[in-house]
Amino acid sequence: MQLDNDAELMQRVAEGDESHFQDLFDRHYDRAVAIAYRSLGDLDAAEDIAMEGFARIYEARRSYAPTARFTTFLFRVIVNLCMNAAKRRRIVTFETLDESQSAARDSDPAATAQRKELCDEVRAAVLSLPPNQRMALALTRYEHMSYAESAEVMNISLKALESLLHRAKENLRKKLRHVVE
Amino acid sequence: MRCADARKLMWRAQDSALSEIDSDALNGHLSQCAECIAERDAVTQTMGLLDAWQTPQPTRNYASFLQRVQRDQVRRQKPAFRRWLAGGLATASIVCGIGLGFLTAYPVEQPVPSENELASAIGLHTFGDMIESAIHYDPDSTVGVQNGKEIDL
Ligand SMILES: [Zn+2]
Repeated sequence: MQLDNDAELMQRVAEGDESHFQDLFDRHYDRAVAIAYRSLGDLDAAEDIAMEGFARIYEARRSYAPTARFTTFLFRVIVNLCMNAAKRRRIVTFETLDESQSAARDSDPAATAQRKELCDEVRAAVLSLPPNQRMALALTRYEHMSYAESAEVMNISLKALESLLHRAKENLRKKLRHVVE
Repeated sequence: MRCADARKLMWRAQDSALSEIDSDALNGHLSQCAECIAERDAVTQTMGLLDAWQTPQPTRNYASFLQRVQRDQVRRQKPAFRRWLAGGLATASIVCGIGLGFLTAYPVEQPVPSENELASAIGLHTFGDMIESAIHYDPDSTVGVQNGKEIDL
C-alpha cells in the first residue's frame, strides 16, 4: 500500500519517534473538532471528543499498521465517539451564536440579529436530525468528503450512506421550508 | 425519468456526486418539468442555508493534549498497586480452591473458553482493536456519558 505523508509520520511515531505526533495533531485537530461539533452542537464537548480520539490513537501507536489512511482511522474513532455521545446526551445543548462569530463582524445590529436567527434555525434543524443522518451530512456537506470516504469513515456501505443523506436532506427541506419560502 | 427520481438526483447533484449519465438525465428532465425546476431551486436554497452555521475556532492545542495524556497515565498508574493486590488474592484463592478440589474431587466438565476470551486474557490488542474499542465510550471521559452501544444505522 502506498503510504501518504500522515501514514509515514504515524509509522515513525509507532517506531518511537513521538515528536511527529504533534504534526499529525496540528494537521487534523481542527477538522476532528469540526466533525464532532456538527454532531454534538457544543464546542466544549466536541473538543473533548477530538482529544479522546487522538488519545486513543496515541495509546495504540505501537501497534499501528498503515492499512488505511491515517485520517480514516482518526475520523472513524471520532465518528464512533460522537455517535455514542450523541445517543446518550439525548438533548443537545443549544448554545447561542458564538460571540466570536457575531461580535465586531459589522456594526449593523439588525443584520447581526438576522444572521444569528438564521444560524440558530439551521443549527436547530441539523441537530434535530437522527445522529447517523447528522453525521453523514457533517462529513459530506460540511467536511466535503467524498461519499466513498464518508462511508468508509462511518463504516457503512455506500448505499447506506446515500440513503442516510437522502433522508437527512429531505428532513432538512421540511424543517427549513419556512425559511426558504 | 419520473419526477421522484429526478428529486433524488437533485440532492446528490448538490454534493457534486452525480455521474455524467445521471447528470445528463436530470438535466434532460429539468428542461421539460417546471415543477422540478422549482424544487431544484428550493433544494439549492436549502443546502445554501447550511453555510449559515459556522464552526467556532477550537480553543485547545497540543499542550492541552499532552496534559491530558499525562493525566490519563497518572490515573492508570494509581490502581496498579490495587491490581497487584487483587491479583495476589485471586491467585491465593485459586490455589486454595484447587487444594479443596483435590480433597473433594469428582469429575465436572469445564467450559472451553472462546477465542475472544482467550485473546482478551492474553491482552491481544491490534490497532484495529483500538478503533473498534472506540465504539464503547469511556465513562470516565469528560463528556459525561456511560458505556456504550454499537452504532445503530
Ligand atoms: Zn419533474
